[in-house]
Amino acid sequence: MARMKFLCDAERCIECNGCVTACKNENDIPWGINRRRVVTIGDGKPGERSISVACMHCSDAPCIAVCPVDCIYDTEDGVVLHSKDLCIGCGYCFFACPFGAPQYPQAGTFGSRGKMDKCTFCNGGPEEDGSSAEFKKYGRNRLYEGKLPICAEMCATKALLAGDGDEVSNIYRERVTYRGFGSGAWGWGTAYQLKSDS
Amino acid sequence: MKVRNSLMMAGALVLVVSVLAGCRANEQGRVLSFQKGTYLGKSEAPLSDSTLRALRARASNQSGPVELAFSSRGGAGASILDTEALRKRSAGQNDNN
Repeated sequence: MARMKFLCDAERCIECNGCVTACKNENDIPWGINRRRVVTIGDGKPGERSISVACMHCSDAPCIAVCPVDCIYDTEDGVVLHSKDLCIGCGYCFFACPFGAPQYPQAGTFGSRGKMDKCTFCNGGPEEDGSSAEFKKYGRNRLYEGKLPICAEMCATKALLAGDGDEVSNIYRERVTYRGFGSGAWGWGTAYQLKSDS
Repeated sequence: MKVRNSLMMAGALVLVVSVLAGCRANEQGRVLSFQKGTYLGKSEAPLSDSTLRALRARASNQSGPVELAFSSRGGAGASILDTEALRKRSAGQNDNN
């Protein structure tokens, strides 16, 4: 059994926004929604760092815990998905998420929130794998095709890593050993460490 | 009068039964009742072993050159530049000798 994880190596990210563009293109994301964003800390100052942020598919996802209609679930492969048929667009998951991943399209004249949209790890959603209904609601199901998320596969500097946690951590460990310092795996601890009371 | 009342009662009963029957979850095509903390919607099929193997192979392709880093910080191999070779070449520019 695999445990899918993202890792953004802040020492390598050059803020090209290729991951953002690739994600929008691959999943046909509508205007106003960005499933992935690049955030720059200390812009223009020494020690500036950029990180690519989306849903990290947490091990013990807080969004699953707070959803009042239980529309969010994690798959056997560790991907956190949700059902747009059940979502009521309440916004609780947005407040619970440490990464600001959930997004809401404007629905209706007065700007009311539509159904939540977020990164699916390019694993589609709870519709038939590879179907047009799945693509329309959730985007491309690349995992089903044996491919990793497009954001990671497109990353020019290989700053954004995705895949089975064992593989990802092996690659990062090799880099850290070579560099001699271990900073850069931003959000890894928040998303994947065991909670103290679990 | 009695017959009319009976007919009205029967009509009301038919109406109530048809309304309640229309509330059945399988006819609505969506989840109508919730169990706290349990996802009751359609679930995702798990990935097959061959797909997982293909994904692991693709994940290992992400390793690339380990020496690539854009940090200004030090470290064993923090730069892709061969600083020693550059130092020698820059020293070669000195034509004062």
